Amino acid sequence: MHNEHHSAGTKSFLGSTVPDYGDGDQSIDHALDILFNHDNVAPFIGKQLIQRMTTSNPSPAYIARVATAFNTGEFELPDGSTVGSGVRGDLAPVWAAILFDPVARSADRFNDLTWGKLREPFVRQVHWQRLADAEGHRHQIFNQIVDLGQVPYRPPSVFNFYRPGYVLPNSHMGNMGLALPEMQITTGPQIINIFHRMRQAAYGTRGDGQLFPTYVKDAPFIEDAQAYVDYLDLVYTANQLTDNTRLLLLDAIESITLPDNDPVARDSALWERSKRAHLLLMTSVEFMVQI
Amino acid sequence: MINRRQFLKLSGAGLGVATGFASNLASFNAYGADSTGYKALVCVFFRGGKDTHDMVIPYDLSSSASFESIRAALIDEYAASGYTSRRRDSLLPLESSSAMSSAGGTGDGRTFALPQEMQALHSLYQNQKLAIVGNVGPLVEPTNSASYANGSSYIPPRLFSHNDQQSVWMASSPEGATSGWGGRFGDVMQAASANQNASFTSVTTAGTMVFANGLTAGGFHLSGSGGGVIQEIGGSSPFSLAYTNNASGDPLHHRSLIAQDLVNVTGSAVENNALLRSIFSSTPDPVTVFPSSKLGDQLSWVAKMVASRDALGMRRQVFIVADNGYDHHSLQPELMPVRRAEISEAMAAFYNEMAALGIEDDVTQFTASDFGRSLVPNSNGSDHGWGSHHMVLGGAVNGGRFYGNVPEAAVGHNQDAGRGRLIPELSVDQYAFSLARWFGLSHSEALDVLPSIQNIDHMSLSGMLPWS
Repeated sequence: MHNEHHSAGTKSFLGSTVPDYGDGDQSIDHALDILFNHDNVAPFIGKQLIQRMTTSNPSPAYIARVATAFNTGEFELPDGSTVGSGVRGDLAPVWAAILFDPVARSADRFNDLTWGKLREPFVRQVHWQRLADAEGHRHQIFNQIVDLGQVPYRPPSVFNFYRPGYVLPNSHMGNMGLALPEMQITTGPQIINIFHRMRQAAYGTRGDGQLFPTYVKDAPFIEDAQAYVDYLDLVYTANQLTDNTRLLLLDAIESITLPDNDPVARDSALWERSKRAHLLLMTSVEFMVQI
Repeated sequence: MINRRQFLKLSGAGLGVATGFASNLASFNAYGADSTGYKALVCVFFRGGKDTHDMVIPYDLSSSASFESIRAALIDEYAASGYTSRRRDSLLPLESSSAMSSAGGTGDGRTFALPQEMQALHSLYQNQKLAIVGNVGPLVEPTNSASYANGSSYIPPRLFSHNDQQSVWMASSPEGATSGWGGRFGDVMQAASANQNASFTSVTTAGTMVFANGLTAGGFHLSGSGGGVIQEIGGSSPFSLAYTNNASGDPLHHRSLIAQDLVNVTGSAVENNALLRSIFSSTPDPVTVFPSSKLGDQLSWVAKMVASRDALGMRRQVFIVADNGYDHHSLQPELMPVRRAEISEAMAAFYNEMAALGIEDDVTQFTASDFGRSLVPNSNGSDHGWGSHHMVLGGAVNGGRFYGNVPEAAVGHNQDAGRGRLIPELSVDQYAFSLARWFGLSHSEALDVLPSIQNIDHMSLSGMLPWS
């Protein structure tokens, strides 16, 4: 704030007036309070937070429940306990209202074929990194994500990576006028890059300049192909893999037999199972779409 | 060749939103778009709202003095920066620039110049390949400062807002629009069976740009970086093919409509990637050296695709390339000169490459941006405006002259929305209309795809490009 450039005088907007404080900081604080207290703030931010977490096209009623949590600063959890300080704008009750919403948690949502959202490329990357216990330096993380089209803190403009109201032309959702925000950056070249990057990620070896997946979490399941499929289905898609993909996954795992008497060859075969299985999950439609 | 996926899209487009268009499709053939030979339109979009007061600079002594007075602080800083200058003696004067040829033209003896970084485009202007179109922007009906101030004119929605005005320029309505005029030109050409590969009718190298989306034409995404080599997807092992097929195969494996949409998008990407990979590998690389800038890289890809036109079976194509970083509220003297040079060198390189292919008369570049900016600077930048000046470049252009009007370098004139933010005298639709007609759309087809032209004299840019 450069007080010498601050314009003196009163300012009126949105039906309120900022008096002439003389001091720029005080005027800005007052103006921000006017904005923050506007009735539109809770549904505006509430809708966008819902879009990031559960569904691209929340109903007005869902938005209203989240907006209420924002406005009251409180939310009652299903067990009767309360989240929040009671101060307007406290985000803990807002997140609770989004994630504990009865519609968002009900299996009925599977009957709404327009429910859900695309997972963002960066969120998919982080999801894999955690499940693979990937090791690496931050430069290696950067190398990995730069081709995803979504480097954190580096959106192409002040309008972020994609717009909340983006409608995919010539599509089922688009023909119904429904938004698919993450589709704005799901373009042909980006899809191709992601196939490449996911393959490099899943197949990363120590010292190749990429992240190195250790896959230590797979150990309890990986020798039993069926158990391994069940585990991956749960941790990647909350048990939403289609029969088709489960079969493809099972084939890919079982096609790599585990030699009994050669520990080195056996380790190598287990490693191959993890690489293929994780790549298949990362590029599966059921993982890329969160329902 | 229309594949299964594209057929589904085409038939799907008849549902809901596009019924009005579908009923028009039959009539397109009756009017008869001209889809003979080859033609391409290339939109060069500057995201952020480019300051074109800083590009078409007053040069006659009286106008120059007024400009230098209003922009004194900015011009001093340009001089101090050491990169370049905006003083009169450093500019590249444009011959015949006072011969304003159409509505609004003054022919009053005023002359203009380009900044010194734009040598390459200056030469193309002098060689009559480049035209300057003054004061273009979104309009609902003719508007001036009085009708703007007293609210008697209908004006475009959400003026001065980046995301909305980008959308209004490209699609005639604010953010959320799903089809733009480039894509709609493509729709007409698809209906006239101009192209064997409908997917490549409208192409963006700049990510999602609503300009390139038609009601049926897809808005194909071409990489725009990576040196013109199309990557293979994920590898060619049986396993790689298996997971690729899983992600791009039968959408009906999924109940969710979001999943089905994703499978369709991925499937098109995989199919088209394979086709382009094959075609591009046997297409010679451009002979022209393109500058290594974002615009240069993107235009070199467009050049490669144009060079592949016969192999791809294309007769009409619309392209859009874009770069960010024109929102110069501050630091303009440090940031702008390199941009001016990039624009000039990239557009000139593309023109030269088209000439090397012998098709410079068949490919027309034109510029666009969110909006122009205020003439009155704020220390070392300027604020969001409305109308701006643009360039049209190609062998078919009746160039070396101005179209429309460049308002005087002053505030308080009839087209001033305040602080020298220009109220457009030519609408984007008028600009688009002349491009549409040259591209081969009939008079009535051009009116159909530019519905907001109805209150505007759509013929006022005739003469800039030939049309039949």
